[in-house]
Amino acid sequence: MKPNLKVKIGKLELKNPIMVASGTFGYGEEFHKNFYDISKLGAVVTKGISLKPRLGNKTPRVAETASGMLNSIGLQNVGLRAFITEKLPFLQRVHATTIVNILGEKIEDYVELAQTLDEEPGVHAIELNISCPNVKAGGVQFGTDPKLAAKVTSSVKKKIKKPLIVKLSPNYHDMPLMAKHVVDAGADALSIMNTITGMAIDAEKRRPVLANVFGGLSGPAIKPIALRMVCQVYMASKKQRPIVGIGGIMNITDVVEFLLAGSSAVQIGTANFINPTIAADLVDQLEQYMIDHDIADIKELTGGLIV
Amino acid sequence: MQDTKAKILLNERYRQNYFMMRLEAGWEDFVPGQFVMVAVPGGKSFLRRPFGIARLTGEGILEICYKVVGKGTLDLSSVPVGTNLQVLGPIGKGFDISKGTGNISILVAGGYGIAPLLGLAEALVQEEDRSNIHLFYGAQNEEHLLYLDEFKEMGIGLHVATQDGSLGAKGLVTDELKKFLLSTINHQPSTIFACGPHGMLGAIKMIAAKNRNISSCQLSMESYMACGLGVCAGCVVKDSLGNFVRVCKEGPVFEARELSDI
Ligand SMILES: Cc1cc2nc3c(=O)[nH]c(=O)nc-3n(C[C@H](O)[C@H](O)[C@H](O)COP(=O)(O)OP(=O)(O)OC[C@H]3O[C@@H](n4cnc5c(N)ncnc54)[C@H](O)[C@@H]3O)c2cc1C
Ligand SMILES: Cc1cc2nc3c(=O)[nH]c(=O)nc-3n(C[C@H](O)[C@H](O)[C@H](O)COP(=O)(O)O)c2cc1C
Ligand code: FES
Repeated sequence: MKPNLKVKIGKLELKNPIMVASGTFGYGEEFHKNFYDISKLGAVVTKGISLKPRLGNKTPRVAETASGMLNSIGLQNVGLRAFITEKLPFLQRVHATTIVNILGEKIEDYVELAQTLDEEPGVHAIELNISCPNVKAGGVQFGTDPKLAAKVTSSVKKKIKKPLIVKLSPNYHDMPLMAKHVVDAGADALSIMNTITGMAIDAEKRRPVLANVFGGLSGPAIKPIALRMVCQVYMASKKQRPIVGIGGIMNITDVVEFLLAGSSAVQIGTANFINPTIAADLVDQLEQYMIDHDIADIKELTGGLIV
Repeated sequence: MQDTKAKILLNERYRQNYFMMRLEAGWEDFVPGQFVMVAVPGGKSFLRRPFGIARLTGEGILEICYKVVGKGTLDLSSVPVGTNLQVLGPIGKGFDISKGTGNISILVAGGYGIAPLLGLAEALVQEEDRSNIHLFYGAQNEEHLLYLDEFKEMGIGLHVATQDGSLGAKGLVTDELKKFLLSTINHQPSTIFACGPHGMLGAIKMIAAKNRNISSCQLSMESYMACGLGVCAGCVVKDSLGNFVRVCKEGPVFEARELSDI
């Protein structure tokens, strides 16, 4: 019998729990054109969109590290207008389940972005990237202040009908507390996690490798931390919201580990750079895994960890 | 662009710390100047490494030439023949030879920048009069010069410069280029195609800007890359409008005047 891979994120039903992570898949065109039909994925999460186009940081912007990489892209993106007119029609035409990742410098930016995108039929859900500095509050990151994170969440939630996912930053030490704040503020689901701030140094030159000095660490190097955070939030939360597990997923075993830790779905990020067909492959492999392990419904795996 | 599991047919030291690798890619076509992203076995290199395509034969055999500079290229140099490597390509926008039809074609290479110019020269000799094609090639010394026999056989103009004078002129290849442009031959429309270190490309851009006969000056750029797919925006350079453009998508070959930070 064909196992059931469908999962729900708020009101949104996904064909399967395999999504691709923001910033690692562009707006989907390259993958669809060269590699596979992206409508096969549970969802495509777009590159983070801001109200105005963003130029991004100086180069070098990427650096390899042990089992991972650092990036300081600086959220370069085409901006809301161009996204809606140039990128979204493509995603809609190929029937991709589209989750738009948004970012702002102040709460009003998030609200305006979310409200506009809520009206777009090609958008299925919104993911808030709160790992950005709040210009109005002296540059403190939304994602490192639970009250601020709750405020941006509730401000957006009030204005939109589509499911709202809040993507949490590991740069805040108490993930369960942060999760509680944004869930109470109305988040329909949580994405755990974004990159961890790190740096690389060129010892010969005595200089940081990245022009921006610091960058976000991703890849297998962060997987144990991401698993821990998913697990902590899953175990601590009374008002259960689906968790989307993210961080260093490279293969089917990693996917299963994230589900067991408490994720309802997962996102594949940096792995797309290493193997451009990995996300599509994982959809097939997950189905095969369920057949091999006699699992009828993917929900049986979520939180299935024996402790 | 495709991601191909390609068998290594040859992987040997060519000269000094330069290696030549041939892979059974089975690809049909490429534009000279395009590159590949190679997954390096051994577990130490997480990201793929970019290398220019030197040649792609009619049988789909891909040739790259790489210099060992760090852990990735070092590991690559010891991968045995017969191993399958994951190779993504051909990537990016290559040289546009249609822009220079009938022009004098001036190829300028420094270091391993010679690799993509081999494929370019092979394409140009099909289209243009050989006496109208000139290669300017600079290296540290004679031992660092690659593919010289191949270029000689093509019968194009060869202008070599080495820093120690062990072969050709002593000094910088860009000085040779300047001299050439001052000579009579230069009073014809010319196109420059260049690949090499950043400093060399900057000097060429300046030379081209001063010379009205150079209608197109195409530079092949390098940058740190993560994906090679056009999705991470890690590899950007600044264009003349101040926007960041991707070396792996809008490049690696750019018209010099369309770049600002070189
Ligand atoms: C479009 C493109 C085409 C290229 N074509 C060739 C080619 O045909 N032959 C060839 O030998 N090399 C080529 N390179 C450079 C090659 O990719 C790097 O030398 C290689 O990735 C270094 O890997 P590594 O692990 O050995 O070095 P690392 O250990 O990563 O670094 C060692 C040194 O190499 C430098 N380096 C690392 N990555 C790059 C990079 N992407 N560009 C420039 N310098 C880098 C570092 O600054 C450091 O000094 C090309 C690069 C690009 C972007
Ligand atoms: C190059 C790059 C760009 C990214 N851009 C964004 C972004 O715009 N918005 C966002 O929420 N996360 C962004 N991320 C974070 C990823 O979506 C993901 O949370 C993180 O990389 C961890 O997953 P991974 O280890 O599977 O890559 C980016 C990551 C990378 C590597
Ligand atoms: S290397 Fe990722 S966009 Fe060019």
